[in-house]
Amino acid sequence: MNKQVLWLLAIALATTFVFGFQAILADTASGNVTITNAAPTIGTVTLWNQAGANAAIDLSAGSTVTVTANVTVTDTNGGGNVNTATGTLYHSTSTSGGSNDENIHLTNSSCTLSGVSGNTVIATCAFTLNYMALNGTWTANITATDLSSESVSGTDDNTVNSLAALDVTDATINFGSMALGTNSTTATNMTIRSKGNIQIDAIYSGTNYTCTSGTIPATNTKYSLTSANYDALTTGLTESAVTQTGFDLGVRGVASSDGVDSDKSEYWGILIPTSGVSGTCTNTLTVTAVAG
Amino acid sequence: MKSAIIIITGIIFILLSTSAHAVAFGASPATLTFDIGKGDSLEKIVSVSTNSLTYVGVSYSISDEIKDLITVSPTSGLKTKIDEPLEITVTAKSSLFEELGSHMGTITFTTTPTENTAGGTGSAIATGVAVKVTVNIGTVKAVKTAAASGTKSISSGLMLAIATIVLLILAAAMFLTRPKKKSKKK
Repeated sequence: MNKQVLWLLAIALATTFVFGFQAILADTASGNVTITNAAPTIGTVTLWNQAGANAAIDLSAGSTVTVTANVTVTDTNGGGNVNTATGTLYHSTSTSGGSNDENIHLTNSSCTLSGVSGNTVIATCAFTLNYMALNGTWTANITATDLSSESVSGTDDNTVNSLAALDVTDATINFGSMALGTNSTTATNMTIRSKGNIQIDAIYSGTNYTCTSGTIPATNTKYSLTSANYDALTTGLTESAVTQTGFDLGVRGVASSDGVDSDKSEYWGILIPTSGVSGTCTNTLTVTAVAG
Repeated sequence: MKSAIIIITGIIFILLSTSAHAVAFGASPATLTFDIGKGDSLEKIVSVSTNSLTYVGVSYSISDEIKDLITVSPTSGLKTKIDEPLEITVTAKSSLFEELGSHMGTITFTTTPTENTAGGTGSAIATGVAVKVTVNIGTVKAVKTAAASGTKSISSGLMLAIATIVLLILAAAMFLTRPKKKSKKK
């Protein structure tokens, strides 16, 4: 009887030892699993235009437009593992790593990450294009980086259309008070400012002056690119449009330094008839930009 | 009393130091080229814009050289202000009898002056922009794609080849499905 009891105790002890030891081994293994990082991958980047369409970009005269580029980034460690996204937008004459320049290069160092779903997340980079951004092919480059600092990049091209635009820094030309039969002894300066992304010529036309009494023909007005007295001004104003092909007003940042307006002056004078007019005389002078 | 004089002086200084501008005004693209065949038409969009904070009235004119080939839409109520560019649809349309070759002209958009001259003789300035337009009329037909600003051309030769293949298929189908003649019994 005693021998049987001893055998039972021995079996019980052996069973406890074996299963207990296995349980200890299992607990130790579960705490040591390490998942390696998988580098993110990037889908197709799309550079949208200012209206959110996949079409060419039109800039705005003297102002800015905002364009966006976006892409779906996949990270098999989970979409939330994508930590940051940055973007550059650059003209064909620059590179992604080029310096920022109002004409050819923009950077967004903090693009938006949104719409995490499973292993994907959407990266969206917004860029503000000013009116002097050169026309031609622009490339958007988006770089996404995960929590382990592994990154991936993608690009897309779009076209920035040409923008012919100008501003005249004064809303009027005022010749002041003049006597009958006199002309401008000194020319009146008018400053024309580039507000687009291409070199332009100026086209001038004007209506006849309507006076309190009588009229003055538009042709009594003369203009020139250099300051002079009335007789030395080179061109007579006409009612029909005439292009000044040598005007050649360049783009801000190209014809001038970055951040400095690109201007040209036109000088104006008038001849008052010897008789037939009195009072105040006014007309409309139209200054038109054209690619040139 | 003293503070009132200071305020009035300040207001006068601000008014004097704020020079009035005409407004920045422009168009994009600055040039348009249409490649169309005889009897064909094609649309493109021009964006007319300004930096004016208030609406600026816009008028347009088409030069004589292309007046018979170009139409724009809309034609009335044209106005624009900052962040609200005026989208103009420009359509080039050629008649079947139009001469082959290039036709060049301009569409000019003009603002109305924002100010009158104050006393004395002078000019109120209006700003404008001229879009250079070239219409090439040839044997190439232009087909508008689904994309608003995109265009795609296919040659008239390819069109003819497609039409011929379709006709051959139809003829073959008619031949194969023709009613068979009954054989005469002797």
